[in-house]
Amino acid sequence: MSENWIEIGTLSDIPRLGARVVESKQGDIAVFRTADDEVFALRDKCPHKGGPLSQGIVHGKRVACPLHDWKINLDSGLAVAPDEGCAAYYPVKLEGDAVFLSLTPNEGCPN
Amino acid sequence: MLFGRAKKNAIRIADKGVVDWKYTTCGYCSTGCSIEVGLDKDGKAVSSRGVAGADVNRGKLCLKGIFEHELFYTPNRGRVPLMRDQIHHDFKEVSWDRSLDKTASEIERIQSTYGRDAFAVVSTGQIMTEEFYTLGKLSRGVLGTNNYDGNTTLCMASAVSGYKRSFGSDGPPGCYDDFEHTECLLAIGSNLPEQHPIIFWRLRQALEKRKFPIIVVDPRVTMFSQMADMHLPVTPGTDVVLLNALAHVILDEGLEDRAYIDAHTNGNEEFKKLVAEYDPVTASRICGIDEDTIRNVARLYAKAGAAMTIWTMGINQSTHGSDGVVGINNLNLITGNIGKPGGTSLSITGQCNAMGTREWSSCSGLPGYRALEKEKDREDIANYWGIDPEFFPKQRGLFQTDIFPAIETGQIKGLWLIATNPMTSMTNTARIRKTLEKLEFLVVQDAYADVETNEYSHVYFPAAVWAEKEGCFTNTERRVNLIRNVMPPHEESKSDLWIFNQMAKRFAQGRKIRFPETSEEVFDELRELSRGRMLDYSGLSYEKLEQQRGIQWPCTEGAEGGTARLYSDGRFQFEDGKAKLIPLPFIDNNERPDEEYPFWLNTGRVVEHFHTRTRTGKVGNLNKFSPTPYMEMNPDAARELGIEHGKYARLISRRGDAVVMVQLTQRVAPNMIFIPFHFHECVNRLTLGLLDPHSRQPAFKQSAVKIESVADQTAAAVRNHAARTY
Repeated sequence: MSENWIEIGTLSDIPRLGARVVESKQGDIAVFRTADDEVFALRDKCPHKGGPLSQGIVHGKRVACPLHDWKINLDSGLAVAPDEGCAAYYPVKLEGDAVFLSLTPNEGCPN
Repeated sequence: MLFGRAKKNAIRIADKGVVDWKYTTCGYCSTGCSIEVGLDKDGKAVSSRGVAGADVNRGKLCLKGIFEHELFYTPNRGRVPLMRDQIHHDFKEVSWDRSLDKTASEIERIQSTYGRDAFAVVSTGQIMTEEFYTLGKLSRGVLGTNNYDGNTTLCMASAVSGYKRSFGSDGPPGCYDDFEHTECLLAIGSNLPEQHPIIFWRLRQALEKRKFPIIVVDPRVTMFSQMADMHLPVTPGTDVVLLNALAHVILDEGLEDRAYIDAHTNGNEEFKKLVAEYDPVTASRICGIDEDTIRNVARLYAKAGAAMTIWTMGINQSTHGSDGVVGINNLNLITGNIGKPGGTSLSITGQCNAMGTREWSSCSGLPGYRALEKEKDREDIANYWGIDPEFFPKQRGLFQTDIFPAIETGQIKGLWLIATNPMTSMTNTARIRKTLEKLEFLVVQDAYADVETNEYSHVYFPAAVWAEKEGCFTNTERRVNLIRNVMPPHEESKSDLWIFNQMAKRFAQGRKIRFPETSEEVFDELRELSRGRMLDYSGLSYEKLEQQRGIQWPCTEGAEGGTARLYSDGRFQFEDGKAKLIPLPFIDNNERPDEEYPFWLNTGRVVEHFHTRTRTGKVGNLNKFSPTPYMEMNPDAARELGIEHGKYARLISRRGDAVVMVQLTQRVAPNMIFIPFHFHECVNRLTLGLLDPHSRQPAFKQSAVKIESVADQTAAAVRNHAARTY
């Protein structure tokens, strides 16, 4: 995987149990912060009918799409079974307080 | 307060472990929401969610739908058939064969002793269309009783009657999509947010895109009126006067659609003459809406490019219910608002399949909107079923609200009740109780053994509930929706279809007629019998209904989809194709408040409960929000009587009394109270229930009561608790 990290802000810029949106050429990327201060990033588009995941409720390591309640795993982008589909998963890393986002989605969930 | 916390608690949404989502349709109200029930690895139903691709609800559900999967696990479901010889004996558990044999022999005994019509059947709005059709075949084609009706006479008969009188046939002409096109919406006696939350959401979605005026006519400050642009607090039971006055202004000021009237209506001259008497000044003194408001509403409505009126029980449950519907149709006919996008008279139905009863049950005649009064219709159905046309009566028999008095007077000796609960749902509870005691034989068929009416039955049939069986519902906008089976029936309970088929086999005539065993085979009969008719089902199939998440009839064979609106061509169902403008003189026969009984009693619904709470009272997540009977009372009126918020008070009418908790609120006028109708031994002990002359629908919302404070609050609490035991 090619390195393509960009710094997008600090951990405190993302509300706990909420999300922020990063615009990119490939479309909006939603960046989530869990109750345990883990950070994940997915395409801001539910694989079901395109709902904005950044507006969903974060619970555990999942987010509930605000439109039709499909639940998406934050650590993979996969919809919780038995629903099928995935939202592109973008690697995130924390260095100190800084949040870095890779603009290259995981191969397993590229869309 | 959430914003005051330094650290938010983690949100926990339980992982129910759903491994399969089963498509079906909600079994509560008539919105017709598509729903998916989630099953876990053990096959238990653990979750519900809306279906995103269904146009009706687009993924949304109301509170009842969200917890609908819990229906499969509610207490006091009927397990096995029950039987006893006298209503004061204890029930014995028996086999299906014994209970069916006993019932069949009792029906035969009663009919041979007193005549065919001495055994009555009263059904519901909540079983599948295929089950309604089969019951109609059994009641009309085998038992031959002419005293056969549905409980839709308590809720939708006025809409049916009004549509028939104005347009020549039942069948709501509009659809939910009309919200997207209308330029003025008038809502009369409809509390959409609490009665039909998802239809309300559709309306709100339309308002988000484009602003148009919402005018709510209701005696009470409902949730709907609180978001409306205008609220017209009409005097109970006088909607016809308001409608006549609106028509007066429109015709007097030349705002009518003259071309439409000339091309598509009859009766204009007589109508015009009648409404001339209802000028705004005269009308304001009867209906309580000032003359300027009447003029403003009339102008707003008539000048809109498209205008629509919706209504529910506030219109229907009145001695002027049918006239109210005709009045709405008159208003829309003179303004050319029928059959066009955004222009319609749309009756918002109550029960999930009240429309199925209207279309296919044969309660008002014969299946497929056919009439007993028409020789050709009798012959068509007799030929299709393989019986003698002379077996059918030549006109309709008694409605439910006339069947009960006929039991009182001894004309009817036996009764079969199917998924309906007159002990709570009918007016004047004390009278109903005495009436049921007079029956020689009562069969109650219901999913719940503890349904109140079972106190008086000799035989109880345990029925499957909702998605424990399969079939179709038709919703408020004529969309036929498929209910797929999600769960097998509880213990020994059976689908209503199975019960009807087994009963038919116990009669000689029933063995001659074909009674298909599966819902889908019955549906094929509906398609065949509806071909070429207004409610054409011939283009429908279960597969297609599931794929398209419901299809609006008519849908002809070969057509891809359904039909959004009726009468788009301006051709109505009378012989000459013209609608009727019908003059509506108003005669006030209501019980009104007086010195002795100074308060109007109004009734209605809360969002958490459905009808007599037979189901929702058992779902903990619904019942806990509205667990107790209460009344809304004006604080100023309460102060005068020494009644306090949160205390119990006693209400007395000329029929009986009830004890309720008091909620003080300005939503009701000083001379009015409101009580939700869901509770047993409560509001219907007070109601009178005068009947509409056309539809025979009771006036639930026009009674007079007096209120007393209660000294012994503990005893009152005990009694109030009894009203929600079921």
